[in-house]
Amino acid sequence: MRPEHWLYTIPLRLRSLFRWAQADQELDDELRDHLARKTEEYVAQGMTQEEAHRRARLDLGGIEQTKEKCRDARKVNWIQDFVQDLRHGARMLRKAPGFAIVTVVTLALGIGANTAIFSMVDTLLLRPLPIRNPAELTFLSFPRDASHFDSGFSEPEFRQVQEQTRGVFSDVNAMILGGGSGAAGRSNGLTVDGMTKPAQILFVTGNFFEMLGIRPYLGRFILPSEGNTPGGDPVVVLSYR
Amino acid sequence: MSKPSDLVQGTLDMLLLKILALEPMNGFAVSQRLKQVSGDVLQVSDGSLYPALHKLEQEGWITAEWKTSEYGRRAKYYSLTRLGRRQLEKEADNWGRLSSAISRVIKLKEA
Repeated sequence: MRPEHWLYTIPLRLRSLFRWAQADQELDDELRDHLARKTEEYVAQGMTQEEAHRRARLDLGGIEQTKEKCRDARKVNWIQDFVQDLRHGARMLRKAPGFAIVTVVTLALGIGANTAIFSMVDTLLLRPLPIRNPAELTFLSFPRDASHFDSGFSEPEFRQVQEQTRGVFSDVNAMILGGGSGAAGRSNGLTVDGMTKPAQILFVTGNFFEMLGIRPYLGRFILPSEGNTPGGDPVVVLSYR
Repeated sequence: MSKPSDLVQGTLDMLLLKILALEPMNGFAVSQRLKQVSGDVLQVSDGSLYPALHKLEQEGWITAEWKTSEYGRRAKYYSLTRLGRRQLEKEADNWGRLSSAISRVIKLKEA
């Protein structure tokens, strides 16, 4: 009888949970209806309308109080039933440990995968870039033909874009990704205290940091005056986590 | 032996279920009928009536329907469910056993 009873009460519990506001209004209507009937009863016994109404209210002992008690009657059950359901569920799982293990592993995989993907999406897409005016940052690329875009271009092309778009863009900068393992013969690794680690490197034009409007945590960034002569200013900005 | 207050709460539930077993009716009518059939002995205070009815509804022993009453207002009518009928039988059995046991003890001949 227990499982059947349990199933039967699901719609009731869902109702108290989700249609709480409606249930509250109904409670109000119900009590007012009761008051009206009680008042009529007293009037039929010979009281005046006001006297009857007053007595009826006194009998009820305060609408708000009674409403609270009704709400409590529903609430207490909900908690008790919830605890009972938890215990029942735990008992069922203990009886079938194989099923329990498979369920837990499946849930763990599902939750883990979702969390990982969400964290990635959150960091890459959802969070705004921590720079000044992230909404105004645009990535430029050249259309080579109808469906292909080229984001690589030469230095003269870059200079041309920079000069001829002064009215459109407040500034234009250029960057290129580099990187490597730091193994012998390949540079771009990071060597600290004899230990070499692969590093991801972004080569940028001098105005990169100034354009983004961010401030260094320690030291200084690359200046706009630097980088004009090839090999002239060996400045590096390190990131940290 | 249960505390006096427990006894009263338990029997109130049983009495309300029984009244609704007679026919579906709204809250006010339930208390009126109970008072009437018990010769004014059993009277439920309005403040206890509705919390008790709502608890019975929450347990699934009674179910409610909103209908337009004879006064033209909307009123809530309760009726006994199948589960409620079973609960009533169970509680009536318990009550029978309890009350006959109490009677037996009370009727013991004193020396």
